[in-house]
Amino acid sequence: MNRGAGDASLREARWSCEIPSRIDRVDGICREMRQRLEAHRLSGLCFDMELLAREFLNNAILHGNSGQARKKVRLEMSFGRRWIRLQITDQGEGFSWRRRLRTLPGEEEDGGRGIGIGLLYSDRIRFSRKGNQVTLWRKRQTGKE
Amino acid sequence: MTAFRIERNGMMARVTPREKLTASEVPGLQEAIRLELEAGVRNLIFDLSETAMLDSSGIGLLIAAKNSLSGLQGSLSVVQATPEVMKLLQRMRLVQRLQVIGGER
Repeated sequence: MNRGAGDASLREARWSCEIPSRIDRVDGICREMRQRLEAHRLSGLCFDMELLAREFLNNAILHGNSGQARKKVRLEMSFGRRWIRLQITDQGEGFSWRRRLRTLPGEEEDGGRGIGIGLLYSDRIRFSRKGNQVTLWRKRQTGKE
Repeated sequence: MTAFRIERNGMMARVTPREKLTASEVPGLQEAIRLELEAGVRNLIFDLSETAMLDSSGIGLLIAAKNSLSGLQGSLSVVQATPEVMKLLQRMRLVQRLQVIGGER
């Protein structure tokens, strides 16, 4: 849905949506996310927040839910006074995130960089015990440069 | 409109992803690159001047293409990255590996 930046609903402090596990649905979510960031006067964080969302939506769709469209992925974004919080949840079995955090890929490897991007572009990252939910925090005034 | 453009000139091809190079564009572009290499292309230039978004799947494609070309004594370089994509490649420490040429336009 294309709405103007003046649309008050875009400035709500919390937004959530749920999509089937299809990669072609990620673009729509990212578009809406950008509109909301712009409405909150956070245009400068659009690239970084979209990148974080893409990485963890892709992971949730392709790995968490194994690409099974009937399984859903939920995204929730909330705007605090100092933080933006992004939470992505899938309906899969989770994964061993502790091991993945310890073993980031070498420069010749062509996969496995999503979590590394999460670490670089967020200020804080937390996985649920099972690993099917990730929460990322990003400061509104960022030192992540 | 296709998600990318490829212009071939002998053994060299210039690949220009339009708008973004992310998980949804990777399968189509991967196949197109495979066909270029089969046709004898050995030097790939990725022109990222129109690419506003790059994710880890797109980075994976660049590295896989680089690995394939290295095995064929070929080369890959990245040119004209937009400022935010350039910053991502720098932060991922891939500037040297992917022969990223030039910086912000």
